[in-house]
Amino acid sequence: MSTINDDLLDTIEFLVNRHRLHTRLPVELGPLLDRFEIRKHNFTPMTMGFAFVRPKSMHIGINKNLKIDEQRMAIAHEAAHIIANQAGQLFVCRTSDWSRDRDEREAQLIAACLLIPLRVVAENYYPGAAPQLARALKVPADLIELRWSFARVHGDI
Amino acid sequence: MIGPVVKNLRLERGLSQEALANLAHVSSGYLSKLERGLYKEPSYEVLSRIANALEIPTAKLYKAANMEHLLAEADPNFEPVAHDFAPKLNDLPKRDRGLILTEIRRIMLEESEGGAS
Repeated sequence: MSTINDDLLDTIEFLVNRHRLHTRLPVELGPLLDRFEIRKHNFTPMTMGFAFVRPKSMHIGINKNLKIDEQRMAIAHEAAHIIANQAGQLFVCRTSDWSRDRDEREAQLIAACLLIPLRVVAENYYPGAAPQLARALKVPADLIELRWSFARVHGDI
Repeated sequence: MIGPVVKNLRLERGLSQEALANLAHVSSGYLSKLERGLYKEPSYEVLSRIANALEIPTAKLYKAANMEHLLAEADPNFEPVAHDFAPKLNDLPKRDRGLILTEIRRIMLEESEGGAS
């Protein structure tokens, strides 16, 4: 289980509060993404998306062949690379290998924290509940599991 | 496929094969074969001359021919940039690598056009 440092968690909380991201479910990241240019591409199933940072602009590209919940996760994940201020200008993300790389794990955790309010897992999670919560929040079920695990490890629950 | 796209664009502009060939500095025979689909992936240099002759951006011609993913890697001007990003892209499927590079090329071209204006 990976984690996120406290400064970054503070940044995420600030963004969530500033843009009132968790006031409605499923979470809409629209206000947070206003400064990103987002496009969809006809990638093969291997590629989830990419983020490309320029001095005056930020760009996200995601695979348009992903399911809608996966597309929401992909956008949050790519934005997370930039929010976390990770080193680099180009972040390219595969659909399956995010857990092997520290930056990818961090981005996935941030995506989970952005798309899944803590109170939702705190109040509603039980073993086997992830698919139902995932449908309600329009995210993949494994992101619910990740959010739950992170909340447990971090001592939030 | 690029051939029918070039042919349609040429006919839309009322150009004969010979006229377009002259404008694009290619032979009529070459253009004829290209339009019939005998050349599947002509070079960037030839396609950019044809695009200029048809008065459309080269990128638009690639996109119309569903060859957008080949654009960036074909463009010699973009080669140094593509080389810089290669380590992050080399293990991707060729199509995905091409699409990402093409998007990076588009973004950087727009920046330079914006900076010039």
